[in-house]
Amino acid sequence: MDLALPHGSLSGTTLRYGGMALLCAALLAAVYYPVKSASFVYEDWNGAGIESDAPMAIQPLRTRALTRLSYRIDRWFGPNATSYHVHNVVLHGINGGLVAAVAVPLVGGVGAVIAASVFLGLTLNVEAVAYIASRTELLSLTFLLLACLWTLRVPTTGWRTWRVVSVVLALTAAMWTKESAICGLGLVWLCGEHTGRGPCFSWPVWQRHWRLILGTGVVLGVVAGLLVRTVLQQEYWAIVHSMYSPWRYAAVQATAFWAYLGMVVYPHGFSIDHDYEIVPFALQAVALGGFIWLWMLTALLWLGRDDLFVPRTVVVGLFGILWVLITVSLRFMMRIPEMLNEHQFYGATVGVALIISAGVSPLFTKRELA
Amino acid sequence: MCAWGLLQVSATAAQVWVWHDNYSLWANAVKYAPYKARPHINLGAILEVQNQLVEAQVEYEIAVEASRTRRAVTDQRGGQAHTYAASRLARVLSMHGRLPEAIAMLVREGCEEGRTGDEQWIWRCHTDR
Repeated sequence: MDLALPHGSLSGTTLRYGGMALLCAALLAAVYYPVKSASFVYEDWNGAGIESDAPMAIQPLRTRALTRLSYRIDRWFGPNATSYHVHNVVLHGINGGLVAAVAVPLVGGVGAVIAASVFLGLTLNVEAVAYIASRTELLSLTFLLLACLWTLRVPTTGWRTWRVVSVVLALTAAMWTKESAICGLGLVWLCGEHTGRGPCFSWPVWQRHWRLILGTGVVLGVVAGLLVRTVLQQEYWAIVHSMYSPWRYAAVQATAFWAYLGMVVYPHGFSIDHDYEIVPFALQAVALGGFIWLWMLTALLWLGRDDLFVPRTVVVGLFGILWVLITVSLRFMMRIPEMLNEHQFYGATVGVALIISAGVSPLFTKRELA
Repeated sequence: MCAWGLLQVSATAAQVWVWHDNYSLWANAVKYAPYKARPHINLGAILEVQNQLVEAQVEYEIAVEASRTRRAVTDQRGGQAHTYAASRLARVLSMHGRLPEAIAMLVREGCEEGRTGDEQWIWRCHTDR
């Protein structure tokens, strides 16, 4: 599998990829054209501060300052919703471009185009793009992708100061758009690990197999500890009876998680308000068990990818799965009285796009080589 | 893969229209969460604004029923939805000139008259405590 950008004259490559980018942009504009006449909906009124005559105050140390600043820019274009919607679509397009840039070192040029196309076209992302109040998701992902891009493309001679500063600035900017952008620390770690600059890779070669053993111990220990705690403290019935006990809360989030992955496979059943709370508890428990199992399996395979001689395509797939898990896991720990919504899956769809690209791009590359 | 891509793009184009306005958004939500109070309350509110009071009443009635069932398994939020749905239903009934029926419904749902701190007249249900 050719993982580098295709060789050839610069002008030819530029034309080829420029043409693909233009095609994607045109398709994006065509699909999202109806938002031009769309109105404000649901929490747009208070989320974007439209209900007030004065724009929302920007307090850099206390609020989502950059998101509020972006709404203030939209406000200059008048009181209707068009500028807000167009802004969201443009941000989605920029994020698509950044997904391609992040994907190039992972899956090559063709794979990057596939990843960006999947990300831009996914129906699951409509809520994030068409819902003005979810601007937070779009903006935070922009900065998170920049941080990851700069981490993945660090010069081979090692870290350079300005790159580190850029990553820190991008993460800070992401935090100024939405609090959940703290997951960016995990994503940057993941990218650093992939490039060989993470803490694990700095270990001597003879210690590498200990990484797998240690990782297995930690992962299994955490899960076993949580289960023992549940049994010892007789929390089981509390879980069954109380909708908002920590485990029950996590089980509902896990149900939403699997449902959204299902929607990626078969785009059906999208809604602003799902009712996963009434799914039978047994199924919710299976969903949570599956989520924990996926974390364990992926983490262990990732940690032991060198010892286990995992193929490169599978490594990129694991990278994509970890991206998904890192972006959504925060939601399982911070108990707020909402379930995981479709727009909150926006950041995770980058991982989904990478997984699909890792699986599909070898087919196109082989054909290209033939 | 191409078929999947076409399916995604066509579904995306259709879903963009769902997000076009509040009515299409909540009508779609009611379709996929028929036993949840919030979609019915929000759809009812939109119908009320559009002066479709009969349709709004139907949505509020479903919301009252859904929230009454749900409050047994959820926390305070289920109770709040119940109070809100019952209040909105009472308002639509009174707009139809059926005030006695509205009050009877509120009492039946365990709500009672009261006043807030700023002296506003409200009905509050026992579930919302």
